Order: sequence, then C-alpha cells, then structure tokens
Amino acid sequence: MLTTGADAGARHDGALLGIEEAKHASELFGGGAELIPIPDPARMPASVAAIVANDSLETIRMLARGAATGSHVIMNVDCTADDLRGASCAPFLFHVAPSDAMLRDARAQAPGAAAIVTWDDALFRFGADTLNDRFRKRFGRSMTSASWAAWFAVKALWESSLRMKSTEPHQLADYLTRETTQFDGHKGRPLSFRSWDHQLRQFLYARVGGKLVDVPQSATPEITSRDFLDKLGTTASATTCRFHS
Amino acid sequence: MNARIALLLAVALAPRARAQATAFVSNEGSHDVSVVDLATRRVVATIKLAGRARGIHLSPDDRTLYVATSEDKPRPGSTSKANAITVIDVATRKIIAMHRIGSDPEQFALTPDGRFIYASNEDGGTATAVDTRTGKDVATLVVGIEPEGVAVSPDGRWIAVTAETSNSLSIIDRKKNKVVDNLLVDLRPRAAAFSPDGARLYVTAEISGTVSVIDAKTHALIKTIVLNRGEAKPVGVVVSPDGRRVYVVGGATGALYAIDAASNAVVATIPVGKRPWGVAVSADGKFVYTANGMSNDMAIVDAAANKVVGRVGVGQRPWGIVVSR
Repeated sequence: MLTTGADAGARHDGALLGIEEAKHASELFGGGAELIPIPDPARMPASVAAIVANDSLETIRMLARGAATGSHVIMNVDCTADDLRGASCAPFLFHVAPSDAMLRDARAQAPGAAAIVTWDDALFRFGADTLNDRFRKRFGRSMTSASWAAWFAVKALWESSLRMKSTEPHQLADYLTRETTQFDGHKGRPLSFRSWDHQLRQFLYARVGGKLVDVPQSATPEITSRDFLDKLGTTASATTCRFHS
Repeated sequence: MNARIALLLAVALAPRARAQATAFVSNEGSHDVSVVDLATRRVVATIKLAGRARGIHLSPDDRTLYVATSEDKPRPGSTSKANAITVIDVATRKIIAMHRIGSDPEQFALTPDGRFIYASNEDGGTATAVDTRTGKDVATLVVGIEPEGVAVSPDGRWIAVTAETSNSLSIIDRKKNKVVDNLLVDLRPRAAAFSPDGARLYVTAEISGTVSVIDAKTHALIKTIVLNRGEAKPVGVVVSPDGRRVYVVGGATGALYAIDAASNAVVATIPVGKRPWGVAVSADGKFVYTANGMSNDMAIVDAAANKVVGRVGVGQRPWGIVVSR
C-alpha cells in the first residue's frame, strides 16, 4: 500500500481491517495476506500482487505504466481525476474512488448538498452498522469515506483471489472485469467495476440538512442495480478509455 | 382392551392438540413476542422482553420458546442483560431463563433433540454451542466474517452457518465438534435451511438476490436460483414438511417466493407486505406465514392457492416467526 497522500491514516486503517478480514478468510480457505507499506512508488517490492494506491494523478499514472503487462493490480482509492478513467486508463488499474464525473452528477441530482461522500459513520442499513461498529471497535474512530474505500479495495482483492484460487494479477483482473462479478460493500446493492473504464459502480451519499440521502435516488423496480448505478459517471458510449489501443 | 388403549392415547395427545395452531412473532421494535391464535387469527397475548427481539425458535415439544434479544444499538463489549437468548415457558408465557450468548445475539438454531442452541456471534466471527439445560457454552468454533444464519440438519449432525462479509457458509460436524468445510456462496448470505430429508441445503443471499441450492452431503452447488432478476432482497427461507416447496421472503421487494424443489424454479411470487424477513410453514404444509417488518403485521398465505388469505397486526417491526406443530 502506498502510504502517502491525503487521509493516509484513515486509508491505512481501512486497508488494515480488510487485511485482517482476509486473514480470517484464509483460516477457512487457506492462503494468506499481508499489508506492506510502500514509502516510495518508484521502488516497488517484488512479489506484490496488488497495490492500494492513495496518491496523486502523476504517481498513479506512473504505477499504471509500470503495471501495463500485469505485474500488479492497482486499486485507486483516492484520486478522482476523470483522466485516469479516460485517456490514461490502464488494463490493470481499477478505481474504488468515485470519478469527478460521478461527483458532478451526484451534485446535480442533489442540489444543495453540503457534501458528497462515499461512506458515512451514520449509515446503518444493509450491514453498514456492523461494518461501522467493527471499524470503531478496532481503531477507536469512525469509518470515513477514505477508510471505506481502502477497506473495500482490499476486500475486492481477497474475494477475487478466493474465487479464482489465485493471487496472479491477470487472474485477479480477469475476475474483477467479468460481467457476472459483483461485490457487497454494505451499500445495499451489488457493486461492480465498469468494463469500459474499471470504475466501481456504487452509491454515493449527499449530506443534506444533517441527513444522508442516497445518490442516485429511488430506483424504479424495473431497473437493474447495474443500470441504476450507471446513472452516475461516464457511460460506455461516452468513454474515451481504450484499454488495448 | 383396544378401546382402552385408544382412550389412553387420546388423553396423551390432548396437550399437543391444544398447542396446535399458534404463531409466535418476534418484534424488534416493540421488544416483545406476539402470540397469535391461528384458528381465530388474533393476538391472544404479548410477551414483553428485555430488548430487541429477532431470532425465534420453538423446542421440539413446542413447550419452550427461545428468542434472541439485544440492545437497540449494539455496543461492542456491552454487558447489558438485554443481550441474551430468552427462554419462555409456552404454557405460562413466562420468562424462565436468559442465556448470555455474545454481545448481539440475532440468529440461532436448536438441535432436533432440543439439547443445544447453536448461535452466530456477529462481531466475533464464531458460532457458539450452548447447553439448553445449563445455559453454558460447550463449544465455540471459528466460522466466517459477520456470521448470521444458522441451520441444523434434521438428523442433528450438521450445523450450517452463513457469514455476511466473507460470503461463506461453514459446515460444522457435531460428531467431530469442528468445522469440516467452508464454501463460498453469493453476496451477503442471510439464512439457511435444510430440506426435511437432509439432502439439500438452501442459502439466501440478500445482495445477489439469489438462493443457492447445495447438496448437503457433497457440498456441491446444484443451482443458483435468481429471484426477480437478482433485485430481490431475500432473507428468511423455510422448506415445506413434504420437501416439495421452498419458501423465501424477499425483504425490500415485499414478496414471498414459492420455489418448486424438484425443478428449482420459482412457481409463484406473492406480495405479502412491507419488508418480510421471517417465514414459517404450518406442520401440514397448507399455510405459510410471513413476518412483515415495515407493515407491522403477519401475512397468512394459502400454499395451494399462493395467495394471502389473512393478516394479523402484531408488534412493532416484526422480525421472525415460528409456528407450533
């Protein structure tokens, strides 16, 4: 895990909870997991399957170039730049952090929101309360958007590894991009990575007048979770990402 | 001689006949259990409890009711007396014991001989076995992360425990007193049920909107049944006494799904109320009952017609339901 950047402590704790859960799962299914701090992204340790990247646009671009042939899977948990999901997209780069396009759409759908967040300590439905309690019990502070993103990135990685029975980055990326793959992030709907830019489909939350409002809001029963969550961000037809050009 | 034997049998059976047709609904909002006479479809008693009432089971002889209670807002490490499996004498409707199990008891199962409770410990990643006579822990086993649903096989040998964060199912062999297998299932597995012959295991997955049909002997996945294109939010599951139907309640979709166990196909989708999580079936298989959390009632469904034939208002936020034999 890259340990620089904003909210580094909160992200570290989120990733650590994810690793501790991966270790619990490995007691049941075998294998193992370890969180290794990477102070210098230019000096990557060998035998790292995946990187939870909490850093600048330039650093993530550099990491993505370095992993172009599949030496690692990179989980971007902080940088919202659309460029990473567009012209600078990469086949082994995935985004748990929402894109700027998603944040713009969320603001437009919830006008007057004081903030748009990925997670909040006040969430309680669909097991959000148990996740919040687990985090608070372990670290003595609230789970924030930053810690949730790092926790989810690690969870998606270890779950992919269990399902594929492999830690090989090509196998992990293969699972992450399958049309049938979905994850539970304690947000009430199945979450998945968009095939066209590897952006995580997910709910965001608007803080409006002291309350939390789901964005997007109120699905009609006819619409699938996938289509519903694609109301935020860049669509397949609008993407400028070309993974194999 | 024959006439005398028949008379003695009739006398011996009388207490069981009286106990028939009663539903017990746990209410997490009003901290109580509604006792519903199913013949008159009326609440005949309300049993007040110390906390939020969720998991609920009857002893095999229908004489004892067990209810998981907890604080409204779980506090890790809490020593509140509300966190317990509350034991109620059905005849007097009085609380006779409170067994301490973990900090936030929710779901559990009772072995067919009534001797042991197996409960999931959500914040501990374990399942605990408790002797119902003494209330003491007799085993604690590591299962998945955020364990939830617990089911016991009809022969009492196998315990299945779902875990919501690891999306897993742990199988405990009671003969060996250990977890003998762990399976990956769909997202957020909430509940499990064995078929009456012990051959199948059904597991609901709330976020995937599916039911996994598992071979209970080999643990191989037989089929994944997708409910409402994966948009259902299935929680409770029960199998009819003849094993032909599997009933699943769909939470946010407000529906009861009737599944044909032979074909694993959904044969009916029945609107029952708001957020049904609990489901039970009568001993003769003719009625299915659902506890509807957001409409504060239970629905009575005619299993042959696949339609709601009655409703009974119960307490606040009904969660689970059991029916006496």
